Amino acid sequence: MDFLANCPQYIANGLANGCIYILVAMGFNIIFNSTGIINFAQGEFCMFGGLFAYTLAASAGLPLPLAVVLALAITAAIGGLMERLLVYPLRRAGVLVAIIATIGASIFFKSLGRILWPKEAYKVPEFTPGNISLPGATISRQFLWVFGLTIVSVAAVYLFFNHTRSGKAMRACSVNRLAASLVGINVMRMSLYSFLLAAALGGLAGLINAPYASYSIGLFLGVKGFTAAAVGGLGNTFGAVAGGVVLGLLEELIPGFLTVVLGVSTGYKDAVAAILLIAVLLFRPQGILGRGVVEKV
Amino acid sequence: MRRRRYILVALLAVALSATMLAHMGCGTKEGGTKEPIKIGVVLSESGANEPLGKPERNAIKLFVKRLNEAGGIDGHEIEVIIKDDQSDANKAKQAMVELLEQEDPVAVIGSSGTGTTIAMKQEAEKAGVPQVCMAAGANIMDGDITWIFRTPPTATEAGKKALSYIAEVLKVKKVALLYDTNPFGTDGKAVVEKEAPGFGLEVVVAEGYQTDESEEGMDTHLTNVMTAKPEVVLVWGTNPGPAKIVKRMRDKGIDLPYVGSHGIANQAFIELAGAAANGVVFPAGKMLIFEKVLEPGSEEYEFIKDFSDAYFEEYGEKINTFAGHGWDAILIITEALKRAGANATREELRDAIEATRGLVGTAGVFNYSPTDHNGLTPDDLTMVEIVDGKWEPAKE
Repeated sequence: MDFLANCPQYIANGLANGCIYILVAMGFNIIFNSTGIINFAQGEFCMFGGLFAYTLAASAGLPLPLAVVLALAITAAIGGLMERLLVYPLRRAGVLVAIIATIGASIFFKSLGRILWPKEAYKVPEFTPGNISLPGATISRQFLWVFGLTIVSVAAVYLFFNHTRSGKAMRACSVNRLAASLVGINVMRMSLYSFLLAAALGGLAGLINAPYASYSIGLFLGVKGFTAAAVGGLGNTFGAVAGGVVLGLLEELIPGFLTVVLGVSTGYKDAVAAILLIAVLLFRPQGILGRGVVEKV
Repeated sequence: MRRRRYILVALLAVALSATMLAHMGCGTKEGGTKEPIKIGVVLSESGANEPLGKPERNAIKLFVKRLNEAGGIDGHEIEVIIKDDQSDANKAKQAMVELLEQEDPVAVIGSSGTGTTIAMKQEAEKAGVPQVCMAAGANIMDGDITWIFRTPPTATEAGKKALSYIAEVLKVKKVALLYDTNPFGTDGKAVVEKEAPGFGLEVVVAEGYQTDESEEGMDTHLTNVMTAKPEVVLVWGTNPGPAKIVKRMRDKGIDLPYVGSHGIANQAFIELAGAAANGVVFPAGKMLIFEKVLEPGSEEYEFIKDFSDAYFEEYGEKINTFAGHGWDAILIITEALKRAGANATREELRDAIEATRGLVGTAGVFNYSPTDHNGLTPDDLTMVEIVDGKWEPAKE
């Protein structure tokens, strides 16, 4: 009975986390779609978003909306720089080499984060502090921002890829890069755009994951975001939504069930993400909403 | 061409003789001709444990400077050789090997973190050199403890202190334990689960969390433990996890008492938790609020006051726990040297450190024995309550 009474709270918490995972997962997808790369530094974009927002708003005292926009711009610029200095020079070296380079970038960003923000955590101002008490659950006002901004981001990404020239060009790159370049699409520019966009989305995730940010958050969010993307189907926008929501909810409901009903507390919530990822890769490698990859024989 | 070469040779000759002359001048130190006593130090001046290593280094350097100005030990100056392990176990091991091979120290201090300390411990055992560490991990004292000593209080002392407060001051029985799944938290969990029955307490639920989880994630853990109907929430972790939990607790209107660990005995917790920090109680060394819990004029009060004033004068910073651990480490070695004599061998010095009794330090009064190389008891800690963002003694 207790478990059922707690469910509204679990669902609210799961959705809040799920929204963050969706944003991170979309970043993975956008870069994967236009370059074929899994960007292991995606989680570090979240770190930069949150910590720059802290520095600009809490330390430098800028008004919050301005600090948020600036933090996103700086994070996007970091993503763009990463593409120009790392991914672009490796464009002929193959996808695997570029993926390994992104692991290097992730370590570099994390170290940079530790030098610039050495403390264990920083408090990022919430957009609107306070909470709302609903029957059976308490949610923070910030949750409404998280929810709203995620919906807006998903819609914007969807519209961009389906109804704008640049977006369609980026999708064309993902279908067949050679053909895309033959019809006059600048494949390299699309690669740059994808990093700018993915970094901005990651930054947004790190920023609304308030009120705490730290240099170590990248790995945590990166793993969760990648799991959401893979579970939903890598490269699929709505797959990211499905994967994020499924992961977010299961992560709260399963440990809740274990503790409250069975009386076992594992202490390893992360196992949920790992088991989910393995299960999906074993039984449905293309993801829940992904289309199978056709191998030409 | 040839002339140019002559000039070059002449210049070289002048340079050589000049350096030789310079060297002859400092063949002996002015004043004391006695050999300096060498103590090796390995700590984390960079990397993840930098916030620990820097104040530790500062305290050790200041202590030695003051000791040497006062004439050293029997006229021998103390020389500390400090190496940075970058918070990395392999580098700590390497630094230890270098120290032992190149400097032949009579004792070593180090390191800041548990992993780096264990890496050094293996080398210290092989070489037979006393090691005084500033890390609190329980597993440091696993296996052979012959050569290793410790200055910070451990989860055992802090856990017992927190549990006795729950049992005797709060007078409640049912404890919900939330612990970080990192080594600090799991050490605490082991102690709390082992010691709780002895205080007549029942741990009704123990739930692990990860410090990077969002507030919503913490909310789920809270929701889970509340179903066990606890009377107090005990949170064992380091920032920012405990701050997220207390904030969420107060947001949800849960007004149970919140008892923390010594992992939140820092200003950062108050900054992170904001107004929710008020009413939080945790165990900490008396140094944190020594002016409020120790009698002016008592040996402990005067010792900490002297340290606090000297440290502030030298570095313009307030003392913190870690600076205290460094101060205690060098204090324990030099006090043992005074008893064993400046020419003591490593074995003699080890025996003298083990014979330390009633030595007033910053973390408490140190009493080592052949079976106890931690040296402190729960009585060396005090319960601190956060009142209006300030530390106050909790009601006993």
